[in-house]
Amino acid sequence: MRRSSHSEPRTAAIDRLVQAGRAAMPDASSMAAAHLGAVSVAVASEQSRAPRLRVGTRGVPRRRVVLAGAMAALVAIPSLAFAGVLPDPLQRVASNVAASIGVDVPSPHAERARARADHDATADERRGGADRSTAGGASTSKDGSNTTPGDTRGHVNGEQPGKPADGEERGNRFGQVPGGPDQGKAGQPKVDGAKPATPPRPDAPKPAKDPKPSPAKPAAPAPATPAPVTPAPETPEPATPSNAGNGNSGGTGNGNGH
Amino acid sequence: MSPTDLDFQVLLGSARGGDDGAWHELYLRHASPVLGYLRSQRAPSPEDLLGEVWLQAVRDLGRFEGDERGFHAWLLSIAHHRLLDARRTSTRRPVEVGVEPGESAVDGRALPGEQLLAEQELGELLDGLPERQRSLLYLRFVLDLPQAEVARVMGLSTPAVKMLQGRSLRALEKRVRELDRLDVRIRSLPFDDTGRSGQ
Repeated sequence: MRRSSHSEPRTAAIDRLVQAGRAAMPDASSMAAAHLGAVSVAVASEQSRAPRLRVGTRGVPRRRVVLAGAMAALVAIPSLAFAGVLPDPLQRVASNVAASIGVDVPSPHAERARARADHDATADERRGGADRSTAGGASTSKDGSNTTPGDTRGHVNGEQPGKPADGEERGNRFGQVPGGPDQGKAGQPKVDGAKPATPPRPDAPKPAKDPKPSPAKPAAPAPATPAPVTPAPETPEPATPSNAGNGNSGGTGNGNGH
Repeated sequence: MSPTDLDFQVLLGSARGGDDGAWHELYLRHASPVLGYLRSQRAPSPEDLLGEVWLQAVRDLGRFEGDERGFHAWLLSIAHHRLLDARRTSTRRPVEVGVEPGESAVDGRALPGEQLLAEQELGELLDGLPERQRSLLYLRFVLDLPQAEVARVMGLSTPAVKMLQGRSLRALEKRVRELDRLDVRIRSLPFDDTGRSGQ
């Protein structure tokens, strides 16, 4: 009974609400023209709109897009760092990070220093060539080295200025052998066959014999050699006095002029 | 699937295809309850909100799946969210509404007398209640939505709707008692100038 006493006024209240609500229900048809005009415009624009990639809750999941971006960055940044084309601050960071794990990535400083060194070397070379060409009495050897008379220091083969190296030396250096076309170029008498590079000095200790022949002085003839060359016996060639300065008299090849 | 549902699905397909006639039919069937809901909740400019609801429906119809009852609830949920947005906006920027109660906002015509009285009665019943209770009472009893649909429209769980319904009905009873007491007092006055019958 208590329940019914509660439910009666409640039911009455609900009835009153429902009656009032349904009687007050507006008629929306009076505003249909205005709203449906806007609806048809919206429908037309929706129909003409091309399907597009939607990111977020409606289309492609945002997580997938973020993941794809991260993967692309993971591939692209190291590649650019290895190529050395990142901006300097990023390149420096990438180089430091890579260096810490033992990977060599060019750093902007190193790149710049290398470029500067290359530039300087090229400039020096040009300047040196100009100096040589303007220096009087100086001659340039075939390989471009300075062959100023009386100065044999720095000469590659220890050739005496004004006197071309013996055929073997030259032949060894240029892959040619005695008897080749270069031999005896300056009227020097041909030395008989190959000979030891350095004549032993009486006061100098005898160098230990190298069981292997030096690659610069092959014992076997080069392929271009028409005739085999027999190795010369270890007969020290007497030092011939130089006719220009006190350079190396025997074509020692050590380049120190002694 | 009943013939009505089949008919509705055909209508829905036409509307998705951009058929203006289908949209017109959907509007005629479902716009009035939505407008009634918006008015009962004292929405600022309910007619404008109704237009926004339909524009939103045009945009989102591709994602809707269900029967006509579901479509009805779906429209009401759009309206509910629009209502909450409008309330938030109006608390930030109060808007002067130039429409008197009982007057149509579209053409300014006076509403029919019976409808005017019913609207006043509805206002008296609901105006003193909190917003959520007002929404629930209208959706659940005037529009006769089941609790699950009400929960979907209001963004609540079904148990929460049950609890809210109990509180709302108690509040409605109390409100009816107050109105009855007030009515008795008014009728006992020697000059009754309220225009209402004493019955």
